Amino acid sequence: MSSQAVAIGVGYEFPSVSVVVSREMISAYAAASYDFNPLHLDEDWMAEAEFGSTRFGEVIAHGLMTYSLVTRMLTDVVYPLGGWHERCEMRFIAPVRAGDTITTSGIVSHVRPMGAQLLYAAAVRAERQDATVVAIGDAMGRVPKGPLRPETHTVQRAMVDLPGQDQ
Amino acid sequence: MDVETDFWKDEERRATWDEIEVGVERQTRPVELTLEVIQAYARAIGDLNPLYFDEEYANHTVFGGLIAPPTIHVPLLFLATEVTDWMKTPGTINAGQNWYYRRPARPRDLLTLRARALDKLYHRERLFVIHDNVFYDHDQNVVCAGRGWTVRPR
Repeated sequence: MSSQAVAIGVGYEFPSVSVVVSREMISAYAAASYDFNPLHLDEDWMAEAEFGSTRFGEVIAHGLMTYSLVTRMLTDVVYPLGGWHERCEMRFIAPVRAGDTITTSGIVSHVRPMGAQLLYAAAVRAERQDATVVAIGDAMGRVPKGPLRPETHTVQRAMVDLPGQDQ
Repeated sequence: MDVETDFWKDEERRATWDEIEVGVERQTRPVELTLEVIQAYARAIGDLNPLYFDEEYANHTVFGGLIAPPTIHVPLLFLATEVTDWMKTPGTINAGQNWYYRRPARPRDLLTLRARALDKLYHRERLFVIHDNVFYDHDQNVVCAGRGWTVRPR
């Protein structure tokens, strides 16, 4: 984000995070999260494994990786403003596979003054490149009141490439 | 940190859906959160926010020092649970999560997880468990609290 003033209010859209998911990225996330579920790592097993009537056919990304990307979208804005990311709730409704491009979105739906702060609620989601919603939910946070200018050291978009992603 | 990366190992020792006891606390162990774990996780989600990497910057923010990304609870949960914990059963599918963040986790925090199954149900041909997870700091203050739904493979 830039150092331009940010006004959190109803209708504010958080700048999205968009990543191309790769097997290397899924493996790197498994290692960093210590979640080594074969769902995410074992290609041979996933080629045949059935989950009720569902067969994924290949490894899938962690739902919490998507959740973490949505959270990153929110903290990229809120933290430089001196705010606090307070809550996030998401349902994971479609799988993410290697090769998918995941794009997050968030829009403020409600705000409520809370002392010197503004409490906000936002609708959040993540979609695949074909517009399939893979995760959907709500988030909540607080920012100081008024038009806000992020601190000098804001997150540089060029720096936020995921492991294994082609540059 | 001693971590088992093969989730097939000890598979037969883990509770099935029918064996998971609602309301009973899962066996956990305290975890000291390291800067290494924080930064590895941040990098894995492409999050190079200086709050996680630049101590001088972080010292001059409202946080007063380096912190962890909110979703650090993901590695913490797997580090804090035993190899036989049913969350590590191969084929466990995450259906949804919600987390409340009370304060940021920080390097050197000694965190304790209290976790249990809250409910379990057979819904649309799937076996679900609803579970809660609360992380406490060394003073027993809540750091973050979450609830999740997982689809059990067996």
